[in-house]
Amino acid sequence: MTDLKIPSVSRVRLRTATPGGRTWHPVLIVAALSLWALSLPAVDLSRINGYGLISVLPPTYFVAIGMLCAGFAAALVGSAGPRTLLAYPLALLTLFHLVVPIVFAEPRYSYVYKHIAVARYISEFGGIDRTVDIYHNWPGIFAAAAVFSDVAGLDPAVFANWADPFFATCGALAVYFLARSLTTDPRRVCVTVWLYVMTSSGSQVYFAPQSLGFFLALVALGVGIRWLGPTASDRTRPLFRAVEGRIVARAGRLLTRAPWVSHLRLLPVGAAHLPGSVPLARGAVGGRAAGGALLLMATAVVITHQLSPFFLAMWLGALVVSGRLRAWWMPVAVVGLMAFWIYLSYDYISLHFTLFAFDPFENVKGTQASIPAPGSPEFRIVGLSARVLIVLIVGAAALSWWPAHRSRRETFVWIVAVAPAVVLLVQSYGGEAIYRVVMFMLPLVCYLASRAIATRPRRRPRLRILVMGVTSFLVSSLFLLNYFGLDQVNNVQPQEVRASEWFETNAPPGAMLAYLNGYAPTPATAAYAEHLNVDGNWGGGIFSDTRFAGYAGRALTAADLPDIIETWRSMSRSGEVFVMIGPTQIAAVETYQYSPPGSIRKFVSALLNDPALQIVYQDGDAYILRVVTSSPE
Amino acid sequence: MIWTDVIGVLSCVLVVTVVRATRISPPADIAPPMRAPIRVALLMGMAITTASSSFVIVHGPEAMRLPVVIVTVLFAPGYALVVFRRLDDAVDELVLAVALSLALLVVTGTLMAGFGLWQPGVLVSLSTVVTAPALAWHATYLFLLPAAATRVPPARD
Repeated sequence: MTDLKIPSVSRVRLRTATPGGRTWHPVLIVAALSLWALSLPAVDLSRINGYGLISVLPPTYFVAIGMLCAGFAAALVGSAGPRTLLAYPLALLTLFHLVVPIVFAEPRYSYVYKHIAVARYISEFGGIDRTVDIYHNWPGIFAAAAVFSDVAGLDPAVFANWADPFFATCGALAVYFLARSLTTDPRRVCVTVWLYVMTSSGSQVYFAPQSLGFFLALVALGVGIRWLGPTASDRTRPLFRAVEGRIVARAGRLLTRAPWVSHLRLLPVGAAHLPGSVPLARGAVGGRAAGGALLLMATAVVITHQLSPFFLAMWLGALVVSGRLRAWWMPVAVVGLMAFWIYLSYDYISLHFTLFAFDPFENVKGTQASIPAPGSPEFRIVGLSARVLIVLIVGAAALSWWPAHRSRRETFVWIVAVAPAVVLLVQSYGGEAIYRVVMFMLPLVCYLASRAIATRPRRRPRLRILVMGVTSFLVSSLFLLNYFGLDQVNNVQPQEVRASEWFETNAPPGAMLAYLNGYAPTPATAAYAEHLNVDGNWGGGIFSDTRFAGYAGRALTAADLPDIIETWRSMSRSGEVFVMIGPTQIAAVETYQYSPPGSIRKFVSALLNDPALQIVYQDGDAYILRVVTSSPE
Repeated sequence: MIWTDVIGVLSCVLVVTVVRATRISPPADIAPPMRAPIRVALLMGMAITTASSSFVIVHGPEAMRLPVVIVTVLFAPGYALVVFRRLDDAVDELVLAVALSLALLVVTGTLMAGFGLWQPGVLVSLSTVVTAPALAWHATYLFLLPAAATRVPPARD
């Protein structure tokens, strides 16, 4: 008979309760939030330099972050409860993301404004027109925003600025939901959320289709893992044995027999049939209810974003292959929904996009590959911070997983994590696919990385607190650099928004708006469909349109103007051309070095003084110029 | 469409009366184990907010409009579905409720825009008529449960 050592009650109490821990953690969190709130009035956006908002944040802001990092480390090494542990990442998220609507007067990112324009279009005209642009073919978030706008009586531009904290909170809570589907350890769940908050980029937290698609896809994945895994009774059902059991078993045998796979121990043999492979189903949600919820969310993802449903299908497919999803038809259903929606949009897509591009080496290149120069030194450091964050978290995940890889219990998480990368075989998504792949991999990579961090230290807890607190602070600083580092470009000025709205309200139908590059807050109103160019696209940027291929990377001068104006005219449907100049565009040219340092301001000066262009609107340093039509002799 | 508010409120009253009289309970495996006063207050508050949403949106003070719309559109529809399943974790419940509410908003909004039947007010009215009674039903059922003092600890996961 085995002699079981049962700890005494006093020992258990010592391990599970820290005297005073319940009081000082909330006090610390409230103090950090108070310090953060006090530091915001000191932010002066006019002094932003090449490192963005981070250059004008007062030291108290960083002290508040340091307090949270130290508090979380102490809570984790000590024995704080799950609620206390979860409060830390949520507080950190507040410090990071609630800054945006409080500090910035207008929605951040110039490319948000076209999303606002589509929502305004649907709200005003009560419908969509699939011939206008890609957004009218995937209108999910815009239709939802238009409903909200109409019912609440709020303009989309007002709540678009709050989308940042909203989607950041949704994403973090979805990661919590997903992590709880993978483990019963509350410490690990909270560490996963903490890591996610510190390493996620800004691409999934603004008013954009992928933000909503990401949130819904994460929750759908959590539902699939938690409630649609194979049960003991499934193994006895004839249909399961005949169809799914055979497919899964064959796939498993095929993969595990391959020498490279068996060496790496990627798949547990017959994972679906291992006892204890479904230990995590929590609560009482039946398969039908869970399946219905998953399909509803999948449908919303399909009609919201082009890439997100692909990632969701890959995730679900990876779950089926690794024997963790009994509803084998679920990924098939998602692909079917996607195919149906692409069929409805095919007329537009076939004219403007390439559906498949089987060139993985080209697809893996990001949008930075199209920039002619390496960019300003600050821009390079900001870009490096993003790459360092990714390397750190993937490295932590690998180091955390490796010691336990022989048990194979979490190997399937790696398979699900890397599944979105399949998209790189067939699409570049305008150079954005690689960023989206990283975005969808991140939650699961954070979960894998949490394994080692969440374990209780046996020795030297104070050293562990110090190391973890300092590391968290450094990683948070990298996040801030990555997230706020490009705010010279992302901080859209109110006068630019007013100029953009002036053009769309006052320019005659068919007139085109030209600019230096796409970093102008246009289009912005429901009237934008009247001003598309001859290609059916919006605007004509010197550094963003392929017609101006020879201009990027060199200094533009007044001598280039006649050719540029002629090209703009050829792009306008009515021949009427307006030109928008604003500080954000100039900052973008200088940051990405589309032209040599200092040259763009001279060119803008030449534009403003050229007799072929007449200033028709000025608001501070934002201008709308009209190309003067020469009268026939 | 104020009449939908009347229907919503009457449905809530009817549901509360019927549940109190008959003590209809959900199946044992999904029934909550005990009365939770905060949860009862939260769900009943959500039901009342949703039932009165059309009136508040049209005639209510401007300051109340946004919170009422947020509850009616972003939380209530999802909660009306989620409360009929036992999840044992408030955050899980919140995440699922918001995700389902957003998914419903996206799908119905796109259908309205796609078919040219743009009637956001009808969507709110539907929410009023369907979700408010569902939330009231659950809140009443929870209220009738034995208090925490006599509860049996819930089974561990």
